[in-house]
Amino acid sequence: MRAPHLRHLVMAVVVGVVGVAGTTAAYGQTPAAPPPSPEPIGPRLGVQGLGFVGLDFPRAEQSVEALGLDKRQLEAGGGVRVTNLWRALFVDVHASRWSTSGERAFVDSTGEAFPLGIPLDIDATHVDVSVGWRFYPRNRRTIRTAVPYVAGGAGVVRYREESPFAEPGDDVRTSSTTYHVALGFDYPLNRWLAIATDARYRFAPDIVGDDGVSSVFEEDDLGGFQLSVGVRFGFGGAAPATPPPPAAPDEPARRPDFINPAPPPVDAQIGTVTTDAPIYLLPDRTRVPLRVLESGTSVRVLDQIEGWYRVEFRDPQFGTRTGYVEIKFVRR
Amino acid sequence: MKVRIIGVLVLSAAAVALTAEQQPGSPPSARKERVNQSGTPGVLRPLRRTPPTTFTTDTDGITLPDDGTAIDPNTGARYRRGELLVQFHEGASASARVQALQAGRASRVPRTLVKDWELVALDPRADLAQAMETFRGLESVRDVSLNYLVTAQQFRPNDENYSLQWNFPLINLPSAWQINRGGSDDVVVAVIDSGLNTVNDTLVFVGPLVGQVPAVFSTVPDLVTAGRIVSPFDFVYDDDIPVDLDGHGTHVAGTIAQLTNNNVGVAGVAFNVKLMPLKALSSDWDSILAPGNPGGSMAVVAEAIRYAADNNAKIINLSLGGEGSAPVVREAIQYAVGKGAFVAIAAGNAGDDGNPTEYPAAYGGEINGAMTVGAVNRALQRAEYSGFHSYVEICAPGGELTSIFDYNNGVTQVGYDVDEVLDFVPPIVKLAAVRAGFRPRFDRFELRPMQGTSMATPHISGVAALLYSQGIRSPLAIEEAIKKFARPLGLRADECGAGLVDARRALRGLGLSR
Repeated sequence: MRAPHLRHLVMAVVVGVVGVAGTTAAYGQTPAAPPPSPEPIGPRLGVQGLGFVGLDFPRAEQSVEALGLDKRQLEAGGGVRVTNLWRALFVDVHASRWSTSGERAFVDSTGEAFPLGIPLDIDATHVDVSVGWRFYPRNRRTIRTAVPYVAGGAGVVRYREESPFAEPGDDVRTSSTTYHVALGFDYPLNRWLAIATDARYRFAPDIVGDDGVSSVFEEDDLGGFQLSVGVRFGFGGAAPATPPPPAAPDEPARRPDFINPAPPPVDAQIGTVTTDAPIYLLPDRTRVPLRVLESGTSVRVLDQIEGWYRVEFRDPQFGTRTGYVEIKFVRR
Repeated sequence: MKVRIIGVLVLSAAAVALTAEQQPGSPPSARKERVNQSGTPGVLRPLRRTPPTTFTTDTDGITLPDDGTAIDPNTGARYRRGELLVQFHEGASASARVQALQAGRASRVPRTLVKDWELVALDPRADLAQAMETFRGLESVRDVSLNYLVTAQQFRPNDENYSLQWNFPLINLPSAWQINRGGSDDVVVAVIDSGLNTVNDTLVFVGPLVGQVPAVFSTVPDLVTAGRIVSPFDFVYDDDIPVDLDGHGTHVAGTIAQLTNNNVGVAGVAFNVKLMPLKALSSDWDSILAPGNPGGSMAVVAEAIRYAADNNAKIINLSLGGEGSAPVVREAIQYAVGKGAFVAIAAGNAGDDGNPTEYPAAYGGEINGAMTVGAVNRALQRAEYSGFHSYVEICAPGGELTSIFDYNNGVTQVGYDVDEVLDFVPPIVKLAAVRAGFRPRFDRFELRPMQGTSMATPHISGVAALLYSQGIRSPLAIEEAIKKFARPLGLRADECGAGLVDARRALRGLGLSR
C-alpha cells in the first residue's frame, strides 16, 4: 500500500475508534461491559437483510470537479448481515452502486481544466465484505435502543468509464480490490425491522491515478466516505431463547391490580437485567416463562422472595406486567 | 509556354548585365498599385501527372441495379424494402410467433439478434406500413420497425483529390473530425508567410529593375471566400493586400484551412476557421519586382507576430526560419503567447545540411505555448531535411519528395501553376524573362506536392485551431495537449519530440482514469 493510503487508513481507523468510543459512551454508562453470554439465553445467530440509499464522496475531488462530475454521488444498495457469529461478532456483505455523468476535459500543468464538451459516463459498483462487532447497550430500557457497530474488511469495485468517439482500448471496464472501515448503528423499530445508518471510508487504490485527469492531479484513490441510511430487516441479534407464551388465562391484564395498578411501594427501585433473563408468573423456573427480558432491560423491583425479585416490566405485547425474575439476573 | 521559357533562358546572359546596373544601397521602392479591382477568380487547373481517367461509352438502355432500398418519407432515412424488424413479447410461444409471421405474410430471416427481435422478410413489393400495422395488432408482438440503413460514420471529405492527402489519416484527422469537424469560425489563425491572395485584381509593381510590371492576382480557389479573411496585412509592401508571389504562404494556409467537403481540390485541417494572412516573407518575384524590400527580416517577422496577437489571432503559424538569432522575435512570440495565442514554428530544413540551430525554431522549445515542429515522411521516419535539435517538440507530416510532382510523398495543397510563375527557374532567369516581356500570373493554380518543416508546421497549427475550438483556450494547454497525446514513433526526441501529433486523441482529452 502506498504511503498516502497508509496515512488515510490510519486516519480513518482513528476516526472510527473515536466514533465508537463516543457511541459507547452515549449508550453504555459502564465501560467494557461483558457481552451477553450466548447460551442458554444469549443472542442467537441471525440473518438480516439491508436496503439503503446513500451518498458517496469520492476522494478524487479535483478530478471530479475538473470533469464536471457531482462531488456527491447518490447511490443505492443492499446487503446481508449474519449476526452473533460469536458473541456480538457479525459478518456482512454490502453492495452499492453510483453512476454519474460529466464531460471529458484537458487539464494543463497548472491545474486549469478545459472542458471539451464530450460526454463522460462513469459508474462504480462496490461490494464490501466486513467483519464487525455490535455493541449491545447495557441500559436498554426498550427495544428502541440504538445498537452501534464497527466493522472493517475488503471488497471489490467494478468500474466503468465510457465516452463517445472511443476507439478500442479507450473506454475503461475494470475491477479492483478495495478496503474499508465502517461504523454505524441500527435503530430497531420492532423485532424485525430497524433503521440502519452506516458511515464507511473506502480505499480503492488501483482504479485511478495512472492516466486521465486523476494522474494530472495525482489522485490515485477512487475511494472516499460513504454515508447511508436504510432499513434492516430479518431475524437475529438478541432473539428470545424461548418463545413467548400464548395469552395465558392467568394473564395479569385481567387482574384488577393491572387494570388499576397500585402505586409501587415506596422502596421500589429500578433494576437492570444484566443478561437475557426469563421472567415467570411465579417464582418457579420449571414453568414456561412469560417472556425473556433482554439484557439491559429496566425493571421496577417490587418485592424480593428467596432468590427472586418480583418486578414490574413492560411487555411489548401486553404492556405493563409483573413477574418473577431470579435475583442473579438483575443489578440494582 | 516552353517556347517562352527557352526565350527567357536565351536572354539570361543579358539579364546578368542588367542586374549589375542596380546601384547597391539604393533605397527600397517597393510598391504596388491596384488597377483592376473587378478581376476574375483564380483557376485551379486539374491535377498534374496523374490525370483522371476519361472513359466514355454509350449508356443507353443501361440502368444501375436496384439496391433494394427505399426512403422513409417520415424520417428521410433509407431502409431495406421487404424487411421488418419485429420484437415479440418475452413470453410469446414459438407457435404464437409462427402464427404472427403467417399473419404478417412474412418469414423469419435467420439472424441472431437480441431481446426477442427477429428480422423478417416480406414480399419486396409489400406495403411495409400496412404490414407494420398488422404486426402491431398482434398480441405476441411487442414492437416493429423498418430495417433502416446505416453508413460508416467516419467523416471522409468528398474533395476531389482528398485521396492524395495521406498526411491527414497519418495524424488521425478523419477521426478527429468526428469530434470537431473543422473547428469554429470564431477562431482566427494568422499565417505569417509569403502572403495569400485576397483580391481579384491586377497589381502594378514599380521597381528599379523592371520598372512597372502589372501582375494578375486572384483569390485562391477553395480557400479564400467572403468573410474568411480577417485583418490581412502586407508587411513587405506596407498595405493590406498581402498577395503571395511565391505560393508558399498559400500552400501553408491551405493545409490549415482549405475549404473541405466541397467536391473541389483537397481538404484542410481546420476548414472552418478564419485566416489572417500576414505577408512577411519575400520571394524571388518580390525581390525582382521590389528589390530591397524588407521581407524576411526578423524585424518584419516580429512586427507581424505582434500584429497578429494584437488583432486577436489565437493561432500563429511560422513556417519560416533562419540561422541568425533574433531576440526580438523571441520577445514577440512571448508577447503573443501572453495574449493567448499559440505559436507553431518550423524546425528548419537543414537537417541534412549541417543541421544548424535555426531561429525562431530554437525559441519554441523555451516558450510554453509555442512549439517547434519537425517533419516526418510518409514512412513515419524523420524527413532527411528536418532539423533535429533538443528544441524539436513535436512532429507532423512534412513529406519527402522523390520528384517535383510526387503526390504520393509530398504534402499536397493548392499552389501556383508552376508554368505561370516560372517556379523552378533561378531568379536571374525570372528577371530576364520579365525584361523580355514575360508576365507572371498569380491567378493560375494547381495542386502542388511540397515538402518541408514548413509543411509540417501548419498541421500543428490546424490541430491547435481544432483544440481551441473544442475549448482548450490556453497556449500552454494546447501545447501540453498536443504533446501528451502524441503518438511515439520510436524516433529520437531531438528528431520528433513527443512524437507524431494525434488529432483525435488530443481532441478527445481525458476522462477520470484514462
